[in-house]
Amino acid sequence: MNRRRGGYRPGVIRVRVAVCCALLALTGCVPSEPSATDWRTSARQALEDTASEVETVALVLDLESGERLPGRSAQVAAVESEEALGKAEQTLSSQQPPAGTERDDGTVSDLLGRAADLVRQARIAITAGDEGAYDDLRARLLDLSDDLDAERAELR
Amino acid sequence: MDLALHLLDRQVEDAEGALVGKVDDVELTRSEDGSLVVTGLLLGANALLPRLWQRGHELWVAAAPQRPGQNVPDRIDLALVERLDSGVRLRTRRAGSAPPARALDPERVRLALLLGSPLTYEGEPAGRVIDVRARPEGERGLVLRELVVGRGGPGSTLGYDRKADMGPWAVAAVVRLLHRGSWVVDIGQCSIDWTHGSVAASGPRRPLSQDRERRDSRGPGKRVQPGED
Amino acid sequence: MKRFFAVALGILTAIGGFVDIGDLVTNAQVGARFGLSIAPAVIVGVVGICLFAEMSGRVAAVSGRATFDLVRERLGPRIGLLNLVGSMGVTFLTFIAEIGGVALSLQLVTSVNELLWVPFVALAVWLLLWRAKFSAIENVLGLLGLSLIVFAVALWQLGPDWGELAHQAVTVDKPASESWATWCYYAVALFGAAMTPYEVFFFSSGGVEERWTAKDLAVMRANVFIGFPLGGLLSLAIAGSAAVVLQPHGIAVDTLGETALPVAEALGKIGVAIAVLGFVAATFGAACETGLSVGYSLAQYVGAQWGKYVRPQAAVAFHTVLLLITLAAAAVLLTGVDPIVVTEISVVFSAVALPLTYFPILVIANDPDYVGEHVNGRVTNLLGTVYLVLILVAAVAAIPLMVITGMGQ
Repeated sequence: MNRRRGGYRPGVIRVRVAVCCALLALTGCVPSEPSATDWRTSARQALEDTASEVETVALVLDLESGERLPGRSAQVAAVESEEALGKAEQTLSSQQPPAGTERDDGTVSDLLGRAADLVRQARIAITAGDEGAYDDLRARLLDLSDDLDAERAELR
Repeated sequence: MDLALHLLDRQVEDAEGALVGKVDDVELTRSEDGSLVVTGLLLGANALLPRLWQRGHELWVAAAPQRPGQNVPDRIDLALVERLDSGVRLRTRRAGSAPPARALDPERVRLALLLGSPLTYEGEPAGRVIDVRARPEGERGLVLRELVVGRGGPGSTLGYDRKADMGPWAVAAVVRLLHRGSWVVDIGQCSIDWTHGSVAASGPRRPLSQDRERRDSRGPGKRVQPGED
Repeated sequence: MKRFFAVALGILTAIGGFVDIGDLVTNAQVGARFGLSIAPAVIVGVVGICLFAEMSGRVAAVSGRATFDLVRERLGPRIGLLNLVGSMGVTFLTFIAEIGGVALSLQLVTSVNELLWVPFVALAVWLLLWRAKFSAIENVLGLLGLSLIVFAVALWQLGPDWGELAHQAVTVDKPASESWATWCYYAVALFGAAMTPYEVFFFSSGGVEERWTAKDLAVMRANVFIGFPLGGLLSLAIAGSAAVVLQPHGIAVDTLGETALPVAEALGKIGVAIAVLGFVAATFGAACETGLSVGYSLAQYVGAQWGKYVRPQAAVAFHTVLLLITLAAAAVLLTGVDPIVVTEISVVFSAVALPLTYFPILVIANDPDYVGEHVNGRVTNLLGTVYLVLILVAAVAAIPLMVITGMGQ
């Protein structure tokens, strides 16, 4: 049992580990560069998630104006949707849009931004109990949902 | 009675039904005429760990500072056992039943060392000990009589060697297939090397499948009173 | 008359206790995305759990031994240990998810953040496990869990096209936008949610806790064959209501609140209040059951005294384990991890751990040494073998599917 296992000197191992760590650290700092297809898939996913949240908030507004939601569940739902939207937007924006997709990236960012804005307004309206604003917000959310779906179909 | 199948890993209950532990190992004693007799049940982590990972346990024991009686398992003398059916029932109550064992006596060995040992039959490697059969023989107690040898781990016959028509059919068929080469030999024809954990057998032997056809469905799961026929 | 009430209580408790956070979330998610096209997986899962619960209940009643107790005896300590680690791990994950589920349900009505509820819920769970009588926990929470019938009522109220729903289920009418890989992933997830390992361990250990004998076999079978399928119908109602209300709008379910939206649409405030009561009861009950199951598994492997049928002083190790896992679960939840995500993971890993659980039960239920004359009949064995194959397929496919579909994206 005196034979050293492996055969590498400890010093060599340490250097390799250090190099690996450095590489990992560097890749963490730089935004990931996906291919065009990968980016389109991520963008479609973000649009789909956003559309789901937009529709959810629209439904919540509808139910709330019909007084079908008890207590503050409408508020809780709106806050959760807002957070989910924020995450979807962040996941996509951390990716570097590859060459040739700048125009799509612009449209998608624009749509996601509009969604975040509308949902925030909805959340404020629900929390304040501003029932007069519900119908208008709902209509705008549904329109936005259609736009999101259209862009998703385009990105195919 | 098949020790691996019917005694090892069974639940031990005291006289009032309170749970004591599992039979983690079985203590065997060599009697004057050379046969092995079951004399006690061993419980506790010290009995179980060697069965899970022999090498790991050895390292563990070597690494820790040694105190007398530290790595010795808890022992229940067989005289305290009232009956064995689907579990082990003791005569006494829990508090008094599992004192630490005496230091291991060279005449006392553990079943775990025998089960799973590689076996050679007339010089040729022939599988492993997958079970040990014992019979209650009056005054002498529960005496080991036969070794069951084959492929697979101890107890891997899952009891299908005992009962001819135990379902489900598919599982029974698979077990029979795995054990078609298994056989039984009288322990008197074997010489057991306890230090290295190996067994050398010779002489007449019979296939395991023969037993299945011979036995009726009365299994040793019904009460066995140690010390009685 | 008394007997009738006892049987009725058992059945009602079985229905109310069937659904847990895994069933709630997964059925709602699947209903919203796939309609009822994955309903066959639920039905297959429910039939499976009925089959094996009856077997393990029979073993518990006739031999007085719980299932996990017998796993080590039959398969040896090494495989028993593998089984122990696997099922304890999965059940502990489920335990975390259930406690998180209670906290989420409470957040839904009070809008107090879930993280603030976690310590209170964990404390309440531990107190019940330590102090309350076993039958009290089961009966009270099981009956309260019946509130989830509101989903069936809501579905009825929504007046969907029943023919269309049935057609989706029978012809496995997958929406065109979803891939078959995702369909399979969710089928395996639903299968795992319906047949979670802890249910069988808990059922048989519960039988020992309640001192079943061979005379209780008929009652046990009534509970299993009437109660569980009706509980399964509740799962389908949750999926169905999500399909009718959420799927047309493309709303994906990833919070507990979204699960309740269909009830709001159909029945308004009262409906949601009842649904949330059902959420709390079902998840709280399941939290107790999973917590106890972890304790049962460990104690039954080692052979130590377990159970609530003895005083806590007589089962110190068992209750210590319960305390430790409750603390650990609370700690994990307080890191802010989303209980819904934990639920999704636990459901997939349940599918992976299924063979370890169900193979021993099938063998043991056939062994006259344990069940005497009540061995499995031919039909039971045939079904059992078929399910064993299904379980193996699901277990092997679960992780690859999870990786391929990115957990169902």
